[in-house]
Amino acid sequence: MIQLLFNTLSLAAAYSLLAIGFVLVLNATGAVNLAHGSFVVVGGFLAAGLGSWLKLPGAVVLPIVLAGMMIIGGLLSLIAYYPLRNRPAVSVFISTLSMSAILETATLLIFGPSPRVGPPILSSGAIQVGDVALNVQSLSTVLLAVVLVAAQYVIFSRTVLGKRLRAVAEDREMARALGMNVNAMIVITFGIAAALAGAAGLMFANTFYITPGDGEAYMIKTYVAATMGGWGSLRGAIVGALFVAAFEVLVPSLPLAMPSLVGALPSLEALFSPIASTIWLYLAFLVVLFFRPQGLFGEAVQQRA
Amino acid sequence: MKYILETRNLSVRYGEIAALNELTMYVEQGEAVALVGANGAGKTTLIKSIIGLLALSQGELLFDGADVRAVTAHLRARLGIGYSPEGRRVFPGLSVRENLEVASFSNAAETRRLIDQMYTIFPALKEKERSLGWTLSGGQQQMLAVCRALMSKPRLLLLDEPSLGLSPKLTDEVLWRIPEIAKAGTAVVLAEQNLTKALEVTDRAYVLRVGTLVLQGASSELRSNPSVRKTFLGGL
Repeated sequence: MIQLLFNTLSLAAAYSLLAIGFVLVLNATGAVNLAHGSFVVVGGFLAAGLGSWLKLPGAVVLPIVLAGMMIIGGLLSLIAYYPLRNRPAVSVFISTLSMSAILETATLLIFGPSPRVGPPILSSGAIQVGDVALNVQSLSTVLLAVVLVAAQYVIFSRTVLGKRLRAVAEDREMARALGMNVNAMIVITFGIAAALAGAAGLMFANTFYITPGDGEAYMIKTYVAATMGGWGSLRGAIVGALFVAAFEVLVPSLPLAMPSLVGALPSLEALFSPIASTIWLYLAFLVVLFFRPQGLFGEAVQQRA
Repeated sequence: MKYILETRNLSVRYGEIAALNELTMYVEQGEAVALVGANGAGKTTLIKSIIGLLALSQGELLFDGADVRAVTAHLRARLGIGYSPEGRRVFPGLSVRENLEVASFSNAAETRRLIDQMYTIFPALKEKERSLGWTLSGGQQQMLAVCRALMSKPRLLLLDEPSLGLSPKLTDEVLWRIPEIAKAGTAVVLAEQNLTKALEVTDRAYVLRVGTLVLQGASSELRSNPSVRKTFLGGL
């Protein structure tokens, strides 16, 4: 049971990195970046490629993945966002969707269609804590996510650059009129978002396989986490990620955790399959949106009456 | 004489509508100049075209003798134009201190010195240092917006309607800083609907009416000029 909760936490940690990056870009540009899921694929393949080539663990490969993804994210913003920044949001919708197809097809061309496995962050064993065996990959995923979220927090609350990134997200025109180079700030924001998503890709590439077509699934989960948590809220993104991960891990394992439940309703076993858990997730998502259309943590900054 | 700001036949259009018509004006170093006029006279349009948020459709715009028409807003700010917008627009999710920090382009030590200087101008801000922008009262937000515009050590400060929504007492507190700021070497352009107050705190004034300059002169003289008041009351 503890191992189960731990897997949930580890998955949630990786999803949070995704959702936070998505929300950062959303806040900075007001635009939805539909290539965000593809950053996971590119980051995952980068990690898998480097890992098998250098024979090094993920923790060592990570800085290279982060740096590479920052460049890719920055370039993407220059190609798919910058020329369209004064157009309606739907233009960026389409341009980032195109970029996601380009990124995934490029990955397919370079690495081929077969699934790849990335290097484990530290090692792939388990450690014994009391009478529970904890998977090292899950443990290091959680740790790494905590470190990255903390680093991100320090950048945004302690450095002038981070404070300016927040100012740009809150009022672009005003930031410009005060001398901030808004276009450069947006490139940096895309870079940070891509780096976080790439780190998530590194985690997923080992925990699961990664294939070039995975971007869409990650994109949808990111979108659900960000919407459920509250459009534009970073805290909400983390809660939303936890929510998505909980459905993915916990629902299929309910019969294991509570055998009596299935014993009573044997014909309903299919309801708890991993595939059915997706249905439950989206039903719960709809229920949340029905009662709280602004999401769980909507409106981080309030209006003074 | 090189002016810190000069416009020659400056016009701005919103589509078919002319918002400003061939406006020619200047501001000397270290002086405070008022732009007065009723709602819709073009004060905000002029201020926004000076900082670079609106493009001119015609005419010239010189800052410190240099043509800045092709310079984007963020570089104009770096050249030395400070801007406090209509409606204050403080960054709501940033603290008072952070609002000031992001607008400074000096090193960390100088930024700290500037912030302390702002706190001596408006002590109310120091008490609210850690509060987020949106939690401030209107008056505090206005003080913050003015200080934020001063953080880049501008040579020209643009104040758009700083009295909007403030009590008479707070209006005084904000507007009476203007002569001090000008004396310290920063020229000020003050766009105000509050005619009496604006003429009290400035050296010269331009009176606008539906996008056209109708009167100009020393503020002290315009105060006793009956046609100024008529321009206002006459409205459109």
